[in-house]
Amino acid sequence: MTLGKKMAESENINFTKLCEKLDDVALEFFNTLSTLYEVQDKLEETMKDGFLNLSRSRYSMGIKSVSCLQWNENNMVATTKVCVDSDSSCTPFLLQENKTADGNALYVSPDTESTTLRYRKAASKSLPDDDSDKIEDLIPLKKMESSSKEMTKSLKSKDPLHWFGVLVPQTLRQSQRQFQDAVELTVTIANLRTKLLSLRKDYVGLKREKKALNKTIT
Amino acid sequence: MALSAQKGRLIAVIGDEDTCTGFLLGGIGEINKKRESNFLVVDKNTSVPDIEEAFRSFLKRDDIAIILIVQNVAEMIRHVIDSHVQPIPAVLEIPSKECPYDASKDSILRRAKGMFAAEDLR
Repeated sequence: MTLGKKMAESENINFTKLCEKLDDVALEFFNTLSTLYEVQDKLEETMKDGFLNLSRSRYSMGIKSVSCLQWNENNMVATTKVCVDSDSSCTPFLLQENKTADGNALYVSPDTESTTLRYRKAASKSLPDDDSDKIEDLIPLKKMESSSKEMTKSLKSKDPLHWFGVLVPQTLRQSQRQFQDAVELTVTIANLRTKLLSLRKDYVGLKREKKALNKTIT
Repeated sequence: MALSAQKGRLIAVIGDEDTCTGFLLGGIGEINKKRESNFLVVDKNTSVPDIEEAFRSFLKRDDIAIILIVQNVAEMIRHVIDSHVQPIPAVLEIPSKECPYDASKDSILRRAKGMFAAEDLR
């Protein structure tokens, strides 16, 4: 076999590999695009529900009770932030959820709160034997709670829900939850878009490479 | 630099009162020591240059990672949004209370779709 023939064969193999790579990138691009459309739809749904619950709470609290006039502009601190990893081309944005500047969780989950309270009440009364070890386990947790009582208080004051009053309707709480979900979804969308743009860059680069290789073959 | 050691950046929002109220309720609102906010409420009295200025100031701030803008407001300053090509801050168009989201108007998606020209597929 001549040298020329061998070179032509290796070029053909390279060309086929490049075409396969190009196909993979194109498929990945369309997969990402369809995921992006799905997440966009989800965001639209979530925001729609959020707006509906906001209107419901406005209906029960009064028109002027849920507006920009209630925003606490003297002490407004973001409880949800985003970490940026500029090295990652696929997921550069990472949600730093419900955390204050100190890095402590702002919201205490209702389940944990209710369980602890139930145990506290039970500790003062006489209990069956099988519950005694549970209480022993809870003692350090109780101590921790009392030490961080003040901290929790200050954190809770940063909750935007309190701008609208102390006893806010359930619909406003639901609306808050839905908008928190919406924030999460926007971060997902931002990541998908960045991935889409990076795939586009790869595709354009590979296409240019293919054109150059095509010229050398012909 | 480790991701956990990094300082979190903000999410800015430009939109109508309800959109801003919702996202602020979600916990993204912040007013810094210079009294600069990361949100802009657009109502019928807000002029296009004002929106443009606010958007440009959000682009300049290095503590903002994502800018959310309601699509009908984005239509008003489309030329400014189209000229922004940097990945950070990411500009996202979101639906508003009145107008549903239309992907065909979205700058990024239009740019991404443009890579498949008809002549390439021949």
